[in-house]
Amino acid sequence: MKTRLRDVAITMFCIASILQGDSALQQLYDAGGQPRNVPMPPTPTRVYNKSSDSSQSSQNTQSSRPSKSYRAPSTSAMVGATIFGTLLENVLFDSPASNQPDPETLRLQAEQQRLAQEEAERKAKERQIHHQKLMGSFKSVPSTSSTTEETSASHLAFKTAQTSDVSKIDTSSDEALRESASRPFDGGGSHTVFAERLNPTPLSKTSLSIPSAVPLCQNGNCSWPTKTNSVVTTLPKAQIYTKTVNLSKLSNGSIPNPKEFIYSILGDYETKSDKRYLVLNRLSYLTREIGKELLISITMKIIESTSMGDKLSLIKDVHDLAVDDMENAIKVASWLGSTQLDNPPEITSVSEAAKPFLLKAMGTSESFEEIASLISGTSELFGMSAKLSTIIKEMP
Amino acid sequence: MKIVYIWILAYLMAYAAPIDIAPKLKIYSMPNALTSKIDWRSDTQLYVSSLGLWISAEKNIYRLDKPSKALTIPLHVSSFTLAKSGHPVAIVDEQLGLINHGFFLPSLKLPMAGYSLAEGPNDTLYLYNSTIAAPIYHFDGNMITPMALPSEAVQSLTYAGSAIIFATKEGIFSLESGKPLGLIMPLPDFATILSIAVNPDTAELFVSTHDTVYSLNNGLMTPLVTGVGGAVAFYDNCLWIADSLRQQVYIIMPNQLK
Repeated sequence: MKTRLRDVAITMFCIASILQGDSALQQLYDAGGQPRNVPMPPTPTRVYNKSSDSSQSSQNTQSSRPSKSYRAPSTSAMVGATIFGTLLENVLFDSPASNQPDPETLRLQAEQQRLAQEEAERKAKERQIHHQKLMGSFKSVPSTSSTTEETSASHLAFKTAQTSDVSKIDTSSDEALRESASRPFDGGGSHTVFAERLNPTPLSKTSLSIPSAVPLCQNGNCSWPTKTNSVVTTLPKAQIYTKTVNLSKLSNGSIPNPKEFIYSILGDYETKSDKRYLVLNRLSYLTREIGKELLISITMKIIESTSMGDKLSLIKDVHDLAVDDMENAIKVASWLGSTQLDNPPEITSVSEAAKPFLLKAMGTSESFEEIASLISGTSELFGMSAKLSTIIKEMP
Repeated sequence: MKIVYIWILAYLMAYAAPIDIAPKLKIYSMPNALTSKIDWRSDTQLYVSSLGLWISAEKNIYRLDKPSKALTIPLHVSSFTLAKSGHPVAIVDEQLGLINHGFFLPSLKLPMAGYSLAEGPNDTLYLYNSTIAAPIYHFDGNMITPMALPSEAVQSLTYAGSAIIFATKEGIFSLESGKPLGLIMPLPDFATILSIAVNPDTAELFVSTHDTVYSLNNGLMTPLVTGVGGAVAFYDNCLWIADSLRQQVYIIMPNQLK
């Protein structure tokens, strides 16, 4: 507080000096940093009359300079100059007495931080663009899979990690079972801690004590330590719990029911946690049906260009609907096969696959039997989906 | 006309047959223009992170995301990984060193031949011997820790948190201070585990052989893709595969959420 009052007093003094006629700057100039023992000329009294112009005054001042006639500064000028100098110094330079950071330094630091942040953001953006370009450069590989849509990798939104209860296995459909079996990248369990997630079986009763780290090189000599825990990774055959599941060899001459089979694996897996399973060729079996669907969709795309394409397209639509809603698919199939095309059935399905039957205008009076015969021919060639057969069989 | 359709379908099926991918996943491959220039080797290593996509080949280490080579003068690099500075750390002729400005700068003589490198936490390295039973080391550039001496050669190694996960011809094991050696998956008489990758968010393990990549989850090992194998790495919620047999780099990712 005292400092502030002193500053105010000093400022007031300076203002008073200025108002008295001798400007503080002039006083400073006059003081000029000259030693006090140098004889100085008396302080000039400048009287500016109204008729005199500034150039005249300037000439007077300039003419007085070469004479080197220094003036002795007045006491007030000395004091004023000293105080003003101190003030100026405080403003322009960092005063060691002041604890407050220099605003200019702060501004520079803030500017540097801002530039560094901008640079980091720019680099992050570049990395992201670069990564997107890299991802976009990958092209889709044909594979037997449940998905056939063509999507560029660069447009994919990555699935974030999800947690689900590992013991909760959805057996409501084959697809759900397949998901339960593979759980790609989604964590597949509530645990994300390695030890709980992978549940390693302890192979001994003694815990490992890892030796402490030592410098590898000292005084130019490097030596690799060899004293450490020996761990036996050779397993006694009797303690191996692995159960290899080869789906193709477990059919016992008949086609195994995938739902029951996977359920038996996963059910066993749930109850006996000490056992470990290696599913060898789950995909080659389970994707067989998916492969059929893929084949059908390719067939449909080719045949759609022929005269019977529209009708086959309808059958494909029935098939799609049957995936989600067998009951409505049978209704639609029956309707298509009947002669009462003016009287469409009431579709209760809310699935996407039901839309064609709600939207598509029926422009044909062909009987379903004719289409079915064509389908059976295709079926002989390529092996049609079991769902289509079910529809045809269950038709009234 | 029907015969033409059958031929087209047969061709498509024959082309599609070798790669079999799990539901809810998609597989992509890198343009041949990038991969065809690589002098592939059977024990190729793969490194994928924000520092780039790197592959070790017969006479060089290639960066594929920004097509370039690590070495100006071709050298056979036994094993490599990347330091956080972005420089490859490599083993050449039993010497451990950094690759800088296209040159390998050897700095340490390894205790014996057959050592490979794996990335460790916080810019550190793991060294394991893939030919004979030898200590597994943890090295931070100055201090060295002999972690353990397995009774078999280590086929591949990675880490998940504070645990080291390694594969031998007997199975996949975990090594952690204060805990006994853990058996994650016994795999006697199984194909060589070429590579192990970890999803750090979920601790899910991915192990690969020459022709299959498996997901290892609490005692259940299921194939994610068959017909593709090699070195694997997990980054950006994608599984990256460098397949030296098919001389291709693949990426597997979950389907788009609808």
